[in-house]
Amino acid sequence: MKNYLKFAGLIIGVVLLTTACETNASLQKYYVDSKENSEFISIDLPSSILQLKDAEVSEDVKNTLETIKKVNFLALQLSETNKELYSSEKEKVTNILKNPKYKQLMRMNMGNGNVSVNYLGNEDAIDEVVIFGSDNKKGFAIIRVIGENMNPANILKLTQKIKMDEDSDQLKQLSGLLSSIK
Amino acid sequence: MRNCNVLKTQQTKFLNNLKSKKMKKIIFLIAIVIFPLANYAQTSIFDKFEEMDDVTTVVVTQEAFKMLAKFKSGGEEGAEYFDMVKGLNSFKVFTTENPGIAKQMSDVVFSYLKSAKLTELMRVKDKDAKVKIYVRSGKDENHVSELLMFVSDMQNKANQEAVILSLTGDIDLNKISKLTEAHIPNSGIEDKKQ
Repeated sequence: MKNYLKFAGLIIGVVLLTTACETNASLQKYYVDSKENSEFISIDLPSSILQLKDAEVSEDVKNTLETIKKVNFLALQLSETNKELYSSEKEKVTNILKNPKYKQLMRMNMGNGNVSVNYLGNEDAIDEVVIFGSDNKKGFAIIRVIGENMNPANILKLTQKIKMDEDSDQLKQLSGLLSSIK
Repeated sequence: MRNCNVLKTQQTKFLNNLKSKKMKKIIFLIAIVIFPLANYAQTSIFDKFEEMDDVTTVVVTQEAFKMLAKFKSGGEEGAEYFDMVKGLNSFKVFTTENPGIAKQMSDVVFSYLKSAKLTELMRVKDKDAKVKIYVRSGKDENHVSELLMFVSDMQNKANQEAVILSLTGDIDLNKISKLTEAHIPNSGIEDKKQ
């Protein structure tokens, strides 16, 4: 009986260890850690850059807009000196996204470039959308759209009713960055 | 030596325990918990092409179809799309322009056709390319559980292309033919099917 208890204890221990490791490797943690690394470029876009074209809209639309919290942008640009960092960091992100809680919507692989779209939550109520793109010549980028119970059908409707706040500093920063990469 | 004996008795005890019903139950439970995790990723015979550098792949997962099915809007044709999309499990396209990989693709497709029970739905050949479409029969004659399209470009030796398109799930042929008919008139699937 003692042995059986030992055996059960061992199994419980292993299960706890593996699950504990899994929860640690979240994208949020990775994002926070990488923000401090000067090799990375990161931009946080608040949801205030999305503005309604028309102030006179239904409550539904307003509520939908409120489910979107912010957009995080994190990129690592490939240079002569950071090739090793690029491959190790890319591996890290790939492993984080392998966690089944990030449900994959689609992925594309174009020889030296990859794009994958994943999300957290369920199909009616999305908490986070993660777009991860990499190009072996340029670097990689992670775009996270963070919200609370975002409904994709409602957001699709919303896209016709909103405009970007073009005076936003963060948006200018991002577009400046994108044009410098190309 | 004493240690060894202790180990042995422990071992026999352990084995005896293993034989006990309770233990079997526990092992069975663990297996049930672990099995779906191990089986989570849907693998197919074509997945190895995804890792290759000269192959362009597009994979759309079941999650995406589930989500698309929620976008109920956009007229009658939209509704047709959503009905069709609801039952889909995966959509994969592999394209290559590398002659070596194109050859491998055709080998894999043909070995797959032999091992899986796929029937030919249609075959088109013109001077540039060969297109073959295979299906695996589903719950009735109008439904298929898998649709496989293989396009090979045999004539042009310098630029050999191959495309594998694989669609799995509950696919209604009537709806596909209606949709293709709407987009590409006289595509011919309608007549072939009957």
